[in-house]
Parts: sequence; structure tokens; C-alpha cells
Amino acid sequence: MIFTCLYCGLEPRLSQLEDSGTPRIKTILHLIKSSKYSIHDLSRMKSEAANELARFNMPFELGLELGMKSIAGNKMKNKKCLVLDTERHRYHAAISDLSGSDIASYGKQEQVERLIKVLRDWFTHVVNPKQPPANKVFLEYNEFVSDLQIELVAAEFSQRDIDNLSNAEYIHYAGEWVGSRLQ
Amino acid sequence: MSKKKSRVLTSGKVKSRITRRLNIAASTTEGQVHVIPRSSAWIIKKEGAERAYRVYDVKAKALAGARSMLSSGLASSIVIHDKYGRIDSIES
Repeated sequence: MIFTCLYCGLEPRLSQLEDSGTPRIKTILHLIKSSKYSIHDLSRMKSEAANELARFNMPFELGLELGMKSIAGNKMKNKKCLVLDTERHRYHAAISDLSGSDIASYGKQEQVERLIKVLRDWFTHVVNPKQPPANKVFLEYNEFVSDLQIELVAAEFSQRDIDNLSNAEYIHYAGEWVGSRLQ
Repeated sequence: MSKKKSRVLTSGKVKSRITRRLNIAASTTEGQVHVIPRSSAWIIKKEGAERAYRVYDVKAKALAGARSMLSSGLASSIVIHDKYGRIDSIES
């Protein structure tokens, strides 16, 4: 998701990247208010392993956004929002209050490829119709991931370090790679 | 989409070195070929190319094609990816 945003010329903004002295909820509200676009991925609302808790940050943030938009009226009328899940209609059962909304799904198989296409296609509608083909973004993503993995291993990162790379670092490296690639 | 959050930033020196090397990797091609799983296909992609070089129905055929490029000098190494884009193995 981060790579596709960068490759399509957008700057990902995450609450973890902002001032750590500010309460997270304030940062989230600020990001919702000040960003032109937002993407809410609800796919983790169901836990995948026994005794693992589901994550409700995304549904919570989606609720905040919908509430803010409703209250703000014209001030946020141009704000565009994409809601994602792995299954198209699962939210009917989990968040039935959203019934009637349009949610994009990227499936359980070939998730990376399909997610890139869903995002890229959405960007053509709401950001700029001239976006690189999804096929190209997918191939570039694969090359970036392997380049990053090779360089992190060369810098003596363990597999665990690589798997737990922070979002801030990931955005930095992906941004640098994309910047050099598209020069 | 399996990437997790957390962890501290790496030291500035290490981060700068990784960044510099990534910039070089992104802007140069060294004859690597990538074997990548797609929906119902396996492809060979030459480093830096925007499209697939060859498309195969199974992984074994894609690997054979890539190894043939390696042995004939058309490729310097083969990077085999998993379904998340990560490196599964490298052959050279």
C-alpha cells in the first residue's frame, strides 16, 4: 500500500510518523482533517490465529472520519476516502451500520497484486487519471522489495528485524528507491 | 501486506548507507532476472524492465527459463520471489 502510494506520487501519512509527544488520537484527528485522501483497510478486524485479538484501529478511524465529515459539512466535502477489505461483503456482518456503502475488496489470493490494482485504479478516479499501469507497479514493487531485502541483509539485519521494520523506515527507503527509479 | 509496525530507527550512518545503496540499485541494472508469481502464472522479469520477459504456467518452467538465461550469460543472477514480493532464494 505504501509503495503504491509513493509510486503514484502520493505522500503516505501515518500517525506513527508524527510528533510522538502528541496523544495518538489527536494526531489521527489532525491527519484525517488535513489529508486530501484516506484509505481504511478493515482486513484485520478478524483475528487470524487462536487467541489473537482482532485489530479495531482501522474501523475506529473510519468511524472518526465519517463522523468528522458529517459534522464538517462543506469544509471536508472534497475529502476522498477508500474503504478496503479482503472480502467485499464481510463488513455487512461486522459493521452493519456501513450497509449501503461501497467497499473495495482485494481478496485472499494474490493479495499484493490485487491490492496494487485496487489502489492504482482508485487513484485514477480521485487523484489523477494518468497513473502507471498496475502491472508495472506490481513488477516494480517486487524489484524494490528484493533490493531492500538485499541491502538490509548486507547491513546485518536479521530476518526478524526486516519483518519488523518500522513504517517510518519503510516509507523512507521506498521513497528513496521510487525517487531514484523515476528520475 | 504482512509488514508490521514498531522498532526503532536504525542509526543514521547505517540508514544513510542503505539509502545510498538503494538509490544505486534502483537506478542501475546488473543483469539480474526476477522470477515472480502472478495470478495463475509465473513470469521472468529482467531487472528494470516494465513488462514480463517471459510468462509460464508453472514455477518449474519459469525457473528452467531463468537458469537457461543464467547459463548462457543473459543473466548475472536469478532472484526468486514469494507471493509477497520477498526473496525466496537467489541463484548465481
